[in-house]
Amino acid sequence: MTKFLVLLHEPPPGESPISPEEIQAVIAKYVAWHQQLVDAGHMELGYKLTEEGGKRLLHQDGQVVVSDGPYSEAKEVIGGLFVIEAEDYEQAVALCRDCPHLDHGRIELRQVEPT
Amino acid sequence: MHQPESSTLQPLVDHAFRHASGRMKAILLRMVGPQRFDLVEDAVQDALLQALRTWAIQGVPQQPEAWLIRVAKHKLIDRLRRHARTDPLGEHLAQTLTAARDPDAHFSGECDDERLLLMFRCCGPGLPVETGLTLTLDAVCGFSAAEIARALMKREAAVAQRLVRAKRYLRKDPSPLSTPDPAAFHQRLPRVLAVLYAMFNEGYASHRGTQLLRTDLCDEALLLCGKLTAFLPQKQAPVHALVALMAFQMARFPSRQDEQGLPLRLADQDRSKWDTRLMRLGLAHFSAAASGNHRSRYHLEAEIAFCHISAPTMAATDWQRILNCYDQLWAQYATPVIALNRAVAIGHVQGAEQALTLLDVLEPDLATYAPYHLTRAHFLAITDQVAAACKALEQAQKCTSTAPSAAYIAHQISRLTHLNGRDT
Repeated sequence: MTKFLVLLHEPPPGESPISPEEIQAVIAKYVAWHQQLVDAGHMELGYKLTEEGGKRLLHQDGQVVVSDGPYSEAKEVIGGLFVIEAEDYEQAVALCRDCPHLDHGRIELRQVEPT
Repeated sequence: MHQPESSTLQPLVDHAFRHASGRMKAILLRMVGPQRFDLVEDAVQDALLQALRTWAIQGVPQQPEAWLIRVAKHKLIDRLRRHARTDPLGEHLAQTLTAARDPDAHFSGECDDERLLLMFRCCGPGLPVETGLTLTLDAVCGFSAAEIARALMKREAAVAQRLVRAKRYLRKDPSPLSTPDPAAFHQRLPRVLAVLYAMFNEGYASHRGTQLLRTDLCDEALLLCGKLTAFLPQKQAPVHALVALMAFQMARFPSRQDEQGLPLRLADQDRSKWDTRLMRLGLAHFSAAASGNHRSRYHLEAEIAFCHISAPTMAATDWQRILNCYDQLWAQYATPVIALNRAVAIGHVQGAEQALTLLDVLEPDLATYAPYHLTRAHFLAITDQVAAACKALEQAQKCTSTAPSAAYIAHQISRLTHLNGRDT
């Protein structure tokens, strides 16, 4: 099986008036999806990324320049990622089709080069 | 959750977040004072949103509530620091909070005391019962303004406004209520019971909303009232009576609707479906309530509920005992709805004609109340006054705003006209 990176793109979190009960329902959806993949042996790991914009490094005018990631102005950020195992893109896509993240963001799927 | 081995994920119990929200607010309010209610609310909401984003990807932690309260505390510290200019004491509180141990939080048990303390705050003497109810649903029970609006059949904007005013009151409430103070509790208890009664009533009401029973409200009311009995420094018979009343009513929920979700009359309900666990709970509290001389309205209503719950069939119901209770209730609280219910009891004890005579007197007060017309229709049908019964049912239809009730009434009308071989 091959590893795939599931990148979770989403708009920056805003002030959404969501109730505790609704929050629990959303978490339950994610947990159910996640558990499905765990039970079938596809889920390797999941990481939530912290909310600040992170850091950017680039080589400019002969030196490495470090700046803060433009979190608040960005139209889209990476909120987190999963690493899953699947036979091929077709299967990886099938596994991600009902990921609850798609309710509010987009998913980028990238295959990891086999070693 | 980053481990792929068999996960020990336990699912979150029903309404875990709702209850956690109330507990966290109560715990943090005790630490920073009610005048900072807004900051506490925002901090708690921040923590819940953080849980949403993090747990969705990394999974539910082993001790969810401990995680939540810890994060909420840190969010509160941040907010206190940010407001330090306008709230000089805030910086000091922030430091105290930082140094303090993380509050103990468990899913059940000790921390419900915090929710009850907060509830006493929300039911202070300056607030009308409806405001106390709205505030309790928000602060203690963790309902959002939108959810409260749906539950109480109000506009969301009106609920939000009511909450703003109520929180202003909460912020100004000087009473400490940080340790059980018998005198203070005694003073506020009637209001607390009135709010719990109202909460239960809203959930139980069968003539409003799109769902016949909003069991969430009933569950909350029973839960809080039950915990109240353990929490109070001295046994209070009316509290036990109210728990008994709620438990008896809820025990009958499983039989109240047919498969299509239409309401069933008590006479047509399958009593074998009644929840025996709730019946036993009710009986335990009913016995506990039988102390002292004064019978509160909750005692009387609990006894009426007891008469229904202990009758194996409709015919075996002790309507005389029920009537005695309504006589006493009427003597204390002469409201039209109590008069209506008493008329039903009179109908069973003295006959339909007696009931109809009483009901006629109530018309001006209850003209827009669907159950009034339904009751009249019932007794008119018994005395073979079919045309009048149908008219009464049509009146009921005009007053009803729930889909199930409207369908039920339509069904009753067609049943009556069919039985009489007429099509009107």
